[in-house]
Amino acid sequence: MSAAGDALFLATKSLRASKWRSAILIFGTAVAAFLPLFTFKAAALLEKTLLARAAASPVVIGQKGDEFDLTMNALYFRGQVAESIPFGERKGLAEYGLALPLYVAYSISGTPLVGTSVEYFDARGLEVAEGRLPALLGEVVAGADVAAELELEPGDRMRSDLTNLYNLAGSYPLLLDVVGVLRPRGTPDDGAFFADVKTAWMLDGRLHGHEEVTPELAETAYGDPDVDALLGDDASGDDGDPIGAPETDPPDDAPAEEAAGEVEEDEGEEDHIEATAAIFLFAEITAENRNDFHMHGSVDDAPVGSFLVLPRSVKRHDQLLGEMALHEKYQAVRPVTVIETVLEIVLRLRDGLSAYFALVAFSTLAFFGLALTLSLRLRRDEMMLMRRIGCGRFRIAALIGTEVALVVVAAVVTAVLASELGLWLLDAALRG
Amino acid sequence: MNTTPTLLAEGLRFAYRSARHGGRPFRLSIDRWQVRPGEDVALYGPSGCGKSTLLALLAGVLTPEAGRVVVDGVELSSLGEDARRSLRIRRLGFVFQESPLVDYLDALENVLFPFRLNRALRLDDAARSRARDLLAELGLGDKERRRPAELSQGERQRVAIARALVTEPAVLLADEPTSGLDPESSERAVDLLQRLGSERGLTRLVVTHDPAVRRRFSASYDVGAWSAASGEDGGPARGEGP
Repeated sequence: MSAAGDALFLATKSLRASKWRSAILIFGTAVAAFLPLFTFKAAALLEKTLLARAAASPVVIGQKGDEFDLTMNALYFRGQVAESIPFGERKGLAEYGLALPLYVAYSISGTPLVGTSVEYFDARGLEVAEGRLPALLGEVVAGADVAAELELEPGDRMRSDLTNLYNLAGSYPLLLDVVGVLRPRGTPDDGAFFADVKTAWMLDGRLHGHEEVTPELAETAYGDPDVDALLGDDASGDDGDPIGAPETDPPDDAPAEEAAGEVEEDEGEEDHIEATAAIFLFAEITAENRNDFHMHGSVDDAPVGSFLVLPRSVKRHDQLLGEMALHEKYQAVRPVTVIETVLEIVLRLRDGLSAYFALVAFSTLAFFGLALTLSLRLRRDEMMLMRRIGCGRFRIAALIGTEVALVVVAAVVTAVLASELGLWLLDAALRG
Repeated sequence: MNTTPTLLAEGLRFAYRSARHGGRPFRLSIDRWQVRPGEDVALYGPSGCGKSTLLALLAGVLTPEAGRVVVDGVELSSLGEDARRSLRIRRLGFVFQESPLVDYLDALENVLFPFRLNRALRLDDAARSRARDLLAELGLGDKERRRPAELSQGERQRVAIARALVTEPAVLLADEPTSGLDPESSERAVDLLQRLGSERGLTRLVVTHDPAVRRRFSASYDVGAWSAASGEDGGPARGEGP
């Protein structure tokens, strides 16, 4: 065995014999190394990840308000925007470039469901790994991380989360078809479900399907024989007229059963039938009932949280920003600017922490030095024995140095592993 | 018969402070003293008289102010530090007071410890086999994987003896080898030193303050006669040996 091998053998034996002392030394040193290592790498990762996403999202249009909230909602699908923007604005924005609607109001198993258009997938470079992209109402595609976490594959069905237990007029959980799984991209898109924006409106109750309202149904479903009192002359509810959520509240003096299952005649229109929330709404979309789903009101008035605009040119980009700067209700947000502002705070915090880390490193070094001194004092007999037997001072120093080096290497390896684990978790959190 | 002395101290002068006398300065002076090959010698004297210091001078751990020390035909002053260490580790075997062992190594690893300290020795299968044989011979064959903390004081001392012999030295130096041992263990340790040393033809030099131990050696010297408080001249050696 070489001299280095012998030194390594003795150092390993010594460290293993004092497990707790060695563990404390390694842990203390690892913490001192981990703190700056992780912080600086985390800041770099944060900067890279956030800026990359922001750079790929030139302009976000939304209602005036908090730019940060709008950016977080549009880019990372986090939080809610205070006010929605009508879908109809898309036509105007299309003059400047591709305007992608983003409606992040609902979730499936706690994972955001993003209502958008099919162009979003091309714009973000998203491809399906399995199945296909959503094409029909009620179809969703799962991001890679979500699919892995929930063990989803095409053909599975997921129920959307109930957003408001007490809102009987809408937001009913619906069974949605998972028709595809996206390839991982290492972006927040991996942590979301995507559907056509109409599917999101379906969860609003704005677009819905229900059983046909007929006198026979009224009698069988609600048990009220006095059909005339409940229905108008024309009982057809499938003529494109609005049917669904109650448009008027039941009168205070209405009988209980009427309030529960009221079908009220609209006094102004002979052909008009209004149904209340007690009517049976479809809780899932099937091949049989898909054609029964219909929209109440104009599509242009339907809400989205924001539009992600990919301008056709720099000129269009600047024109859009100029236009929006003068707009009364809407704002154009450049996510890069928002993220840079956030990062400025993070980087300032990091710089501030440097002094703290230096202090931690100094105290760790002092602690290490003290432990080493005490250890050498305790091992004075051993050193003396070595000297008497025939071991030189340099050799003794090399043996002690090997022990110190092993502790430092173990600490650095621990710190690097912990740092990588921390960065992996941070990366997952940033994407998810 | 080989008449070249294994150990020779000539015109040796060395000043030291005795911890036993509150750091008081002493001077060790030896005009000429020698130990022949295979001879077994005891050095005795009162505490602080310089017995251990003399052992360190003979081993080349300390360098005399004047005079010369010859070990196995080699004058130590002619050697550099590295060569002195190599000579020490190859030609001298040590057994110390309180049998210091390395607490994180087991008995076998302790015996082989010298091989890991100096490249003058080669740790090979022959060395390992020798170490095992020595432990077996010392009655520790079944305890070679035990740490010092798991051994009795007598067993630790036997491990130390095995460590001193494993390098196949020419001279065995023992500093109070029975210190801390009960009479029975002490007797056994001296028996082992004498038997193993004699079988291997080793020159044995033992420092002891125990008259019973001293009597087991064919020659003994009073180191107190060679040392005096600083300012006084060391008188001639008063040995009881030949």
